[in-house]
Amino acid sequence: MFMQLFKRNGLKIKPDETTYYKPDTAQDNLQRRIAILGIVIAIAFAVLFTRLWFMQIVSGNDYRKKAEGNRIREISVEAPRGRILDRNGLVLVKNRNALTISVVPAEMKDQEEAVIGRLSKLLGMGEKEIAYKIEKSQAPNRRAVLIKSDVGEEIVTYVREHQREFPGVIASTRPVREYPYSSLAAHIIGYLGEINPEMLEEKKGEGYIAGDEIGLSGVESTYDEELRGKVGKYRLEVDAQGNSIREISREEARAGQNMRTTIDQNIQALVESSLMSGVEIARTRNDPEAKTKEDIRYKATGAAAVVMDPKTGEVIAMASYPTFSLNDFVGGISDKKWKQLTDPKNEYPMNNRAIMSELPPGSTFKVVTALAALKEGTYNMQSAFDCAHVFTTGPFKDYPKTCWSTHNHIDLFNGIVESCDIVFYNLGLTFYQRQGTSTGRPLWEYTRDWQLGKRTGIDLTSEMDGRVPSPEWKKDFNKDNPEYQVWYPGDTVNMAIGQGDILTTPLQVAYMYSGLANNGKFMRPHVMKQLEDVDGKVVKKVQPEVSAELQIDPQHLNFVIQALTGVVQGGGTASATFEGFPIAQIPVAGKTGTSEIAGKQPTAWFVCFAPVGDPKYVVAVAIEQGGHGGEVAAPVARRILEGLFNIPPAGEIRPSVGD
Amino acid sequence: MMSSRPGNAEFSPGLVRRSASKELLKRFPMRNVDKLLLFAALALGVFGIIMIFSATRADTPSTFYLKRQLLFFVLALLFMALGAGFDYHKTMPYAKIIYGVTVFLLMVVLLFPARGGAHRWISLPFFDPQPSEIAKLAVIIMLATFIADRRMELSSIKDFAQALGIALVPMFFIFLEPDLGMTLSIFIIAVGMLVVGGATLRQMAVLGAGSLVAVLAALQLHVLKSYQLTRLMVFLKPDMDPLQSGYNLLQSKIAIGSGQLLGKGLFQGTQTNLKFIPEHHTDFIFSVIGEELGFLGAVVLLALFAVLLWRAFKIAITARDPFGTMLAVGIVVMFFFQIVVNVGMTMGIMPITGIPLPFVSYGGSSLLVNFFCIGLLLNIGMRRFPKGT
Repeated sequence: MFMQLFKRNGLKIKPDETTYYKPDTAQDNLQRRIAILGIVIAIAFAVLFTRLWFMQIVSGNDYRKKAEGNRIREISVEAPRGRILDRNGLVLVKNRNALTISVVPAEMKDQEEAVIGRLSKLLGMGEKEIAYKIEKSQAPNRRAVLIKSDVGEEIVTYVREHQREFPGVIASTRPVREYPYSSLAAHIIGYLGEINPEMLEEKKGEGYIAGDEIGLSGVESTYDEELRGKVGKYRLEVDAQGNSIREISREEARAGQNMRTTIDQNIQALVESSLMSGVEIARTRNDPEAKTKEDIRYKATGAAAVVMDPKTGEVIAMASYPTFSLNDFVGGISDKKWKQLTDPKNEYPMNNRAIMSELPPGSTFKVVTALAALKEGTYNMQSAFDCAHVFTTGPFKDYPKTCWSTHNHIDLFNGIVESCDIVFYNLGLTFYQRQGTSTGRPLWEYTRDWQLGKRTGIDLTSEMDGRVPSPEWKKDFNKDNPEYQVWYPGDTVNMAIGQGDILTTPLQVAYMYSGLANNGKFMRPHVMKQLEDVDGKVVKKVQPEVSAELQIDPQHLNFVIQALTGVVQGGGTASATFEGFPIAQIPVAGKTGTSEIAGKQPTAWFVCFAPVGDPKYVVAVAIEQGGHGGEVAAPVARRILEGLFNIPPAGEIRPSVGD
Repeated sequence: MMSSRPGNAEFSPGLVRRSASKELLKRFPMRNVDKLLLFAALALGVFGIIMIFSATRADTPSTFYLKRQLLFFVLALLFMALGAGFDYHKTMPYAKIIYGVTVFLLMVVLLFPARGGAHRWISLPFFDPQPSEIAKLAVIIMLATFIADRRMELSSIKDFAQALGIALVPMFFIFLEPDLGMTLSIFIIAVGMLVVGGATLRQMAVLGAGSLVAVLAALQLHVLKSYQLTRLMVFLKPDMDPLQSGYNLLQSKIAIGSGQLLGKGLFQGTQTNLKFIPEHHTDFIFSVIGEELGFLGAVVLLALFAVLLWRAFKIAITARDPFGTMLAVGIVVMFFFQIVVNVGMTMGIMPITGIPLPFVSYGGSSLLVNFFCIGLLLNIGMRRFPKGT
């Protein structure tokens, strides 16, 4: 009865009545209406079919690649870099396994913020710092970005036990550089850092990938390919959560080759400490030409020293001041440290001044002028001059030049010994006059003979060219200022005493004197001696290479070297400093220099080789804004010579007043 | 009626028996069942079971979903029989009761605790039914009855409005759950049925304009939750939500695209097995098919759907009366909308709405309702001949 109520409820027709209601017109109408629906459905299916075609058939390969990228995770196992040793096999740089925390950014996914927060607490680092490291890193998303090196074991254990809270975080050991002497030979060794996009572009063909650590200076950079070894690669299949399902393939990491350098660790340490004390001494001295009270002391803003073997070109030691600690770079340098190292206030400690500072060579250059004049025959070994402190010959009547002292009657020999400028002004003026009439070779050509004005080709990065001025150079240099293009007598005359536009690096000066010490044979300077594989087998050995050979009249050569030995004794400009030095056993040929740069305090130079007759070492010292060569550079060189020849060091070393 | 038939059997007992059995057979409409439709539906169901197993093999226990889907499939066959086993006209008088009870359930479901932020399920011991699945069918039956009752003439504003109202009430409650996909489903079903059911062009234009205004108003008043909006829009701009729905969509597209022509092989899909595809046994089952069976497999699946819709269409046209036609049309639109939106979603050309793929996706409620609908279609199809003729 209840059902009955509903059966009738509200319907105008009985259910069975509908059976008979279907007039033909209605049927037509209905079919038309249904056809609309059919068309819509057909179109929709066509769209689905087309889309499917495009995705699976047309772009199928791209999607397949993406699916593979999803599925396969490559884990890179960093290879230990080769060790760097000194010439005697003492370790300068080695590796150790550091406990590290790294992050694979792709695997943090949406939890990045939370994970960084937890890491920040755990590691005691700022969240910003961690985020910065991740962001800054060029590593492809599946490669681990190092967050912190040398974490405690308890941190590694904690991360491993709470891996669920740290998706994408990897606690592992990885080989890092260890520098037992921190800053020793820092400029030669060089620091490491993550490869930047430009370098990557350049080195792509050599197997470098984003995220690689690469040598950015020193031999770490020059020989990066040999030192770096080969990164190991594990290919794992992972699921969406990043859990590894199985190993697909494995390629073990291979350690890099060990490098033996030409550096002698003990000498290097001695050179660095001597150079530093030279700088400190310079800073206690007053600059007589100081204009303000603040500038009264020499600033000694930077210094460099090079010790090399003239017969092989091996660099035994090379120091640059100020220096830096390589340990700051282990595990990525902190932002704060990097700012310090690049702040102009700190005089760029990372610059290797031995090859990057371009300074006028000053009087150290006089040997080149003297030998050139002798060769030209314009002067001979007996030529005599008058030094009345002022030089007013010819065109210099109206623009007189001065000598640092008054030498009265003086010959060429003593002109070198006592570093008389007037003697060399005369030599220079003659060169100027002859170049005007196109007789003989001009002075700048002789200068180029001495391998100046171009890189020595040492196996270190960032070496500077220096500069040898010439009329062509001057024209080109002052392209936009025609009035400065004229080559004046002063240009040649200044060059004759190593002043004016001529620029040299400390290494170039050392190289110039090794050519002199080696009878005109220039041996290419280098710091790499040999490469050894992991088993100690020598893979590559650097052979001494003659880069240039200069024909020098033996008489002239002997004359100049004799003069140079006079510098460190008798009336020589460095004689005071070498008082007490066993000259008889170990004859030293040296030259002081004090070069002027407009607006700056003078650079102190001293370059020498010893023992004369069978020279084993060339030592060059330059102290920028350090004062006079005899005063501050020569004492440093003497300390170094004492170390090189095992001479018990003299207590206080006297400065010489010479130029 | 009987008397009009030739060969009166009253005098021939032998013939009576034979003729009676023949009559019985004739009257038993099973012989007119649409075998192609039946085949397509069963094939899709089996297809689904295999793919669900492929998608969930890695779970523990590995056959959990397989067993449940098999069980639902058996139940669904019973539901299909149920849907076919009575004269469909008999539902007309009950349409209002079915509709009323359904709306009541839609209100009740809102009282059940939310799962994943939505009140969609009524918690029962073994099985948690989704009233909104039933609601689709209830709306179809109610609208079909209503339209048939008006002899497929909806030209009066009152009738049109009432017909629309039948859809809007359940839509409102389902929207509250919230279940945007289902709400849209019902709306589209209603639109399809109104078009076929005699609505005038002007009425449809007004409805179109009205929906547009409603959508704009909803956007303006922030009726949609932001995640709903994001999911709706993300297919146009996948980077909108790269970690959630955008990621899901990307992985789904990678899965399908990487299947290429022949697929990676059943059970071999890396995107599936390594769980890159989200909801791989429910909403994104098509991605699994695309990946493992490739273009061929996906086209076979779409072809099965096409056959199913084609046969359903035929039934709608040849139905004996407006009620049958409207019922069939409602079911066709329902299937069609779900197929297109679901498959389109996995390929990034439709919004992510959480609509399962009929017959194939895992899920009891939808499987039971879908097979019941197949039952109804078979029912309409086999009873297309006027009684006794």
